[in-house]
Amino acid sequence: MTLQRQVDYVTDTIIENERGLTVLGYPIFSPKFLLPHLDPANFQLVLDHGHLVELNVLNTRNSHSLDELYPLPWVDSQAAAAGGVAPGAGADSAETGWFVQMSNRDDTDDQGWCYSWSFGCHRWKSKNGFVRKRMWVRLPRGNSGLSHLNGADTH
Amino acid sequence: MPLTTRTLLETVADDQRYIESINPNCPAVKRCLEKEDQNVDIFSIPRYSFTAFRLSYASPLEISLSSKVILLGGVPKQWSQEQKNPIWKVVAKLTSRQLKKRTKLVSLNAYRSIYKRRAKRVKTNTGQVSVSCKGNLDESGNGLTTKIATTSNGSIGKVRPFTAPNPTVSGPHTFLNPDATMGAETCPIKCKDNDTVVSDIRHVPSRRYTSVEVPILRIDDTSSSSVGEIIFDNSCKNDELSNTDTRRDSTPNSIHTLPCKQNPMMTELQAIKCDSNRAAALEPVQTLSCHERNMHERELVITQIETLIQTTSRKKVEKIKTNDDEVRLVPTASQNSSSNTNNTVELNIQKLTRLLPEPDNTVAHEMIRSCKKDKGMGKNILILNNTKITPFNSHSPEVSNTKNTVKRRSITGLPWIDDKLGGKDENAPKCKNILKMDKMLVMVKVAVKHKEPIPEFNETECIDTRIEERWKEYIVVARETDYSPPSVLLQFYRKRKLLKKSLAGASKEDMFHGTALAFLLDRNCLVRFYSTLDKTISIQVPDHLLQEIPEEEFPTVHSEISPLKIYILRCSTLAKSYEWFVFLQKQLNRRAIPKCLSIKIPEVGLVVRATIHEPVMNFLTELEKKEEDSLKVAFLTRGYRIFQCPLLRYLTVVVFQELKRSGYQDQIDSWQRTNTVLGCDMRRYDRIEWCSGQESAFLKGSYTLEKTHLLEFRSLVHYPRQIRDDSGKTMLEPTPIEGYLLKCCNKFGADKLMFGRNFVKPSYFFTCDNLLFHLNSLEAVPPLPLNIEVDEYGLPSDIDAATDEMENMAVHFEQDPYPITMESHISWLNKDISLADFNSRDHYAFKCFNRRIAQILKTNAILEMTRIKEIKQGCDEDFWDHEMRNTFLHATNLAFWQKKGMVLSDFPQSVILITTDDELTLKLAAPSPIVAKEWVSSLKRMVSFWKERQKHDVQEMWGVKRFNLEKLRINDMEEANINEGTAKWICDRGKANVEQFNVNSISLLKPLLQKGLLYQKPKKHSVFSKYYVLLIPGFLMLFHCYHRSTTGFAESVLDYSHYMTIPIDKCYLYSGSTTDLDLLERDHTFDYLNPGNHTLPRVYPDGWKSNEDEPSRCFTLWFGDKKELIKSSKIGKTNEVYECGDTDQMLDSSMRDDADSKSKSKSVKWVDKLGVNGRTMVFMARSRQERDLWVLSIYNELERLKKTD
Repeated sequence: MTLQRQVDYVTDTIIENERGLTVLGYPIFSPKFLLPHLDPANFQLVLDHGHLVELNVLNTRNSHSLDELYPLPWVDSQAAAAGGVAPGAGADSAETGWFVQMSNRDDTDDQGWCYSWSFGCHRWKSKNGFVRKRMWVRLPRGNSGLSHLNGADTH
Repeated sequence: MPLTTRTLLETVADDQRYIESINPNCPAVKRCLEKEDQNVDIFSIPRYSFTAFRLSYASPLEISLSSKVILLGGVPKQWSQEQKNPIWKVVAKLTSRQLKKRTKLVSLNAYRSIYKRRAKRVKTNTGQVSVSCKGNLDESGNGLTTKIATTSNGSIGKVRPFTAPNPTVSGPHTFLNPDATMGAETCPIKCKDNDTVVSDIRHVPSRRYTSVEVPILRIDDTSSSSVGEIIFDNSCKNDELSNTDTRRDSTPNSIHTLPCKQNPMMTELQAIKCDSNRAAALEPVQTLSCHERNMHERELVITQIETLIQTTSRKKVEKIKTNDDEVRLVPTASQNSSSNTNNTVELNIQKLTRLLPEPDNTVAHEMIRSCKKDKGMGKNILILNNTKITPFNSHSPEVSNTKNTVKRRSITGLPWIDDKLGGKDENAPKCKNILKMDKMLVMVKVAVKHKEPIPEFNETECIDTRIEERWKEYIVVARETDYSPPSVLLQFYRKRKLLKKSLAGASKEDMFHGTALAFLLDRNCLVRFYSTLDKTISIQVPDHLLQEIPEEEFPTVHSEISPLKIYILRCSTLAKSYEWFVFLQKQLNRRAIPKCLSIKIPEVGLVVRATIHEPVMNFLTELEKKEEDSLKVAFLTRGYRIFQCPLLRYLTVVVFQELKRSGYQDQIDSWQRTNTVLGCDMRRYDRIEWCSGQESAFLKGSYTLEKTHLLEFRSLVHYPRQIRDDSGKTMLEPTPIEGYLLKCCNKFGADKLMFGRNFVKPSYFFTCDNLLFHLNSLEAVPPLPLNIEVDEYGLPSDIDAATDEMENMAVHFEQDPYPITMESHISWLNKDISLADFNSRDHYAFKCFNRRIAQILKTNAILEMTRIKEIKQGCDEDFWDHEMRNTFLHATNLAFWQKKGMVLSDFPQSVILITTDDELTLKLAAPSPIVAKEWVSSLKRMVSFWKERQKHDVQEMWGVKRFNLEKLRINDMEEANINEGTAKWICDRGKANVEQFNVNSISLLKPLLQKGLLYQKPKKHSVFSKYYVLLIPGFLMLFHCYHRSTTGFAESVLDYSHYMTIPIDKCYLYSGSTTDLDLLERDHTFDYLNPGNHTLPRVYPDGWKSNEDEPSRCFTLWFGDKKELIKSSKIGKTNEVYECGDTDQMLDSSMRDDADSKSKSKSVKWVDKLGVNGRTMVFMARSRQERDLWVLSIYNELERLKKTD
C-alpha cells in the first residue's frame, strides 16, 4: 500500500475507513457498516513509523468533525525540524484545515478513496470493493505557499 | 494631438502608413520615412494557407521552433522493404482500417479548416441547394446571417438571410479602395476634422457623419405640449427601438423609395438629416414600419404604437385616441400590391413626453410590470374610427373579469396553430420565412414557482427550477410571423424531412411541425448568456397571461399562471452562439453589441475607451471583405508585421495613439522592439479567452460579453520555451526527436518472457512536449526531406526512388519547414516568392504538421518524461552476463537496419536505459552508439526541462490564485464560489495566468493542444476513472494510467497504454452546473467549520489545494446516441467542384476523389437522430482553473472543426 509510504512525511495524518459497496455508480458506504472488532475504527491517526491509533468519538453525535477528533494544534514539522518553530507552538486551528490527500500515481478515485475487499488486503484499487479508505492531512489553509507533500509522487 | 477618425481609418486602409505608425523605429521604416520615394516591402500571401494561419498568431521564430523535428538514426531498410511488401499492405489495410480512416479525417479536417477556400463547393445544378463553406458570419458588420440555401421552386421555402435593421446608412455607399490613398474628397465617410473617435466617448458627438441620412420617425420632445409626432416608415434605423417590422420586408427601404404623392410627409422626411449638431438635440429619433392593408393591418399599427410606448415609456402614457391631425402612418412603396397603400391612420397621442432610445436591459423586470400596469391604456386605444380592435392578442379573449378566472388562450398556446386546428380563420397570423436556423442542443427548465423573467438569470440559478426536457439535439428554426406584437416563432424540428418539405415550399401545415416546444419570442422574453464559459443562451419565456392580465387581477389569478419556462440553447460553436445571441437580442429590440468599448491594456494597467460607430464598422468590414483572400505581410528589418483583420488594426492604431498621448511610449517601444503580435482577449476573473486575429467576426461576437468580461489588448503569449532553474541557469526547450529503436522489454520492464523467450519489438519513438510516444515501426511515417514526394499519409509515393535517398540521410536529420535567417525571417518567405513556390512550401509545412498529428493518433503508449528517474547509455558491464541475449538482440538489430559497420562489441553502448520512478527500466536499442548517445543527451535535457517547467507552472498558477485571494481579500472557500453570478467588478480585479491560458490552442503551433490527468466516466451510472488525456486537432485521446490485473488491481507499468480515441467533431460540450445532471449524488462530508458546504477540500502532491464543488470541475461531451437513415440531401447529389487554382495541384488527388465519391455515392446515409437523448461522457479536472483550460481548448478546436462544417 503506497499510502504507508507517504505518511512518514506528514505530521498530522488521519485515515478514514468505511465499509459498503457500489451500486450503479452510487457508493453506498458508511462508517456505520464497519464490523466491530474486525474492522478498524472510522478514523485512525497515523503516528511516526506508520503506527496507527484509533480515534473514537466521545460524544453521541452521528457526524464527525476531524477537528473534534483531533483537537491538538498543528505544528509544521518541516519548520520545526529546521528550528523555525518552537515545539508546541502550533497554529490556530482556524488557519489550518484538513485536506484529502490526492495522488497522481496511486490508484484512487476522484474523492481520494481506494477500495479493497477487506482492510487486511495489501492491494488497493480505485473502484469495486467492500471497504474503502482515504487519507486526510492537516495543512495551512488558502493563502499560503504550495504545501508540497514530501514523499508523495511529484507530477 | 488626437488623430481624427478619418486619419485613423486612412492609417488602417493605407498599408504604408499603418506600418509607419506601428513600427516607426524599424530601420526599414525609418529609411522610408526619410526618403519619401521608398516604401516598406509589403507582399501578400494566400490568407487560407497554413503559413498565413500561423503567422497571424506567432512570430517566425516561434513557428520555426514549433515545426522543427529531428530524426535520429535515419530510416531502417526493413521499413522500406515492408512498405513495398504486398502482404503487409493487405494486412495493414485490414487491421488498421479505423486508424487510416481517422488519419484521413485529420487531414481532411485540417484541410477544410485551414484551406477552406479551396474546398468550397459551388453550385452546379440550377435550383439546387448551394452551400458555401465560407465563414459563419456575414459581412454586414452585424454578425448576423443565416446559411443561405435557395431552392428551385418558389420563395415560400426560401431561406433568406436575415437582414438586420441597419441603423446607419440608408443609401448606397462607395467605400474607399484600400489600395488607394484616402483623400478628403474620396472619403465616403465624411467626417469633421475635429471629430475624435478614439479614446473617450465623451469627446465624441453622437451623430458625426453629416452625409448619413437617418430617415425617420421623429418624436419632438416638447414637454410643454406633450404631443409627439410620429412618422412611421419601414426603414428602422435605431438599434434600440427598431421594431421587428423589418422582418416583414426583407429589403430595407429607404425613404427615397417612398412615392411623394402617396406620402405627404416625404419632403419633410427627406429634409431630416443626421447633422452632428442637430442630432444631438434630436435625441430620440425613431422609425417604425407597418403594413397598411386593411383594418386588420391598422390593428397591427396600433399595437406597434403600443409596443413602442410600452417599451420605451418610463412616464405613463395616459390616453391615446385617434385624430386625423396628429400622428400619421405613412405607407411605403414596398407594401404588397394588394394592400391598400393609401391608408393613412392618424392618431393623437397625448402626453407622449419622451421616448428613450435605449431600453435598459437591467430594468426588464420592471418593464414587464409596467407593461401590466399599462393594460388600461391598452384598452383605451382600442377605439379607432368606431371600430373595436383588440389589443395585443386579438385572436383570443383571455380575461374574464366577471368570474375572475382566466381562460387559456388556446390549446397549444400558439393561436395560429389553434386556429388551424379549431377554425378556418383566414385572418389568422401566418408564419413566414425562416430568419435563422441551426442545429443545436436544447434543454428546457421550468421554474417551480417563479412566474416572471429574472434579468440576472445565469447558471447559478437564483430560483428553484426543474428540468422539463433534457439536452436534446434539434434544428432550431426562427420564423418571422404576422403576429402582433411582432414576434419570432422559435421552432424545434426533430425531423429533417419535415423541415426540408417546409423549406421546399410545401403546404402551410408543414410549417407547424416544429415540436411542442415551439414558442413565441416576444418582448416579454429575456435572452441572457446562461454560462459565459460555454456561451449557452438562456431564453426566459413567461406565460402569456402575465402580459394580458391587469395588475389588479394579478393576485387572484396568480395560481393559474404557468411558471417561467427557460430554454437553454447550446450552439455547436462559440461563433454561432454569439450569432444567435445577437440575433435574439435584436428580435427583442435590445442592443447586443455595446456602443463604446472599454479596452484594458494589462501591460500598462490602462483602460482605453473606444467608440466604433456603425459607419466605421461598416468601413472596416468592407475593408476586411476586400482583404478576404490574401494576407498582407510587411517585410521589416527584423521579422514581419502581419496585417491582421482591419478591426484589430484599427484598435491597434487607437491604442497606440492613446498610449502615446498618455506618456506610455516605453510600452510601445518594447512592443516594437520585440515585434510582438498583438491581439485582443476577453478576461473573466482568472480566465482568458483569446479572440481570433484572422477574422473580426469572432472579435465582434466577443463584444456581447461586455457585461461579464473585460476586453483586453495585449501581446499574444505562447507557452514559454525557456525556464530558469533554481541555480539561475536558463534552460531552453529541446527540439523534439524521433527515431526507430528496438524495444527490448515489455511494458513491465521484463526483457525475458515465458519459456525463456526474449522480448524484442521494432518500434518508432518520438517526443512531443513532455511525452515520449511509441508505436509499431511499420505504421510509423518518418520525417522526410522536401524532395521526396509523399502521399496523403506522408509515405513516399515512389518507395524505390525514395529508398536511396533515405539510406543517404544523415544520422541527425532535422526537418524544418520554416528555416529562419539571422534577421528572424523565414528564409523562403519574402516578396520574391512566387505563388507556386509558396504553395509548395506551405503544403510541405502543413504535411509535416499533419504527419505529427497522425503519428500521435497511431501511438500505442506514452511515457511521461517527468516520471523518468534516470537515463543512461548502456555499457559492457550491464550485459556481460547475457552474451547469448546480446548476440540475439544484435542480430535482430542488424536485420532491422541492414547497415554496414554494426558490430556486436558496439551493441552494449547502443542500448538506452530509461529508469522510471517505479524502478522499472525501459531498454531500447539504437542502431549505433552515436545515435544512442544523441538519444540519451536529448532525453536528459527534456526531462530536466519539463520537470522544471511543470514545477514552475504549478507555482505560477498558485501564485495567481494567492494574488487574487489577497487582492480581493477572500478566502479559499469564497474563491471557489466565484462563478457566473459573481459581480463584474470583482472579476475585473482578478488576475489571470496568461502563460497557462496561452494562444497555443488556437494557433495550431503544436500537435498537442492540451494534456493532463483527468477523471472520466463514460455514462452517468458509472464511476470515475483516471486517464491521461491528450487533445489533438480533431480528437481526444485517453490513455490508461495503470495496467490492471484481472481482479482490477493496478500494476506498475512503464507507460500509459492507449485506451480510447474520441472524434470530437460531432460532439457538443458543456460545463459547469449543467453537468450536474450527469453526476450522481454522492456522499459528502459535513463540514462543521463551514456548515452548508459540501465541497471536499483536496491537496495534490505538487501542493495545489482546491475546494471547488464537483460541477465546477467537470465538463461533459455530448454525443448523439441514435442514428437514422435518411436519403441523401441535394447537396450530396450535386457535383462538387473544387475551386481549381494554381495551388490545386497540391491538393491530394485521393482526398479530392474521396470527397467526390462521397458526394456521388451517398444516396442514403446514417445521421444522428434529432430530438432524442444522447450519450454523455463526463470529465473531471482537479480544479476549476484546469477545467477552464480544457474547456477553452476544446472549444477552440471545435470552432475550427465546425467552422466549415
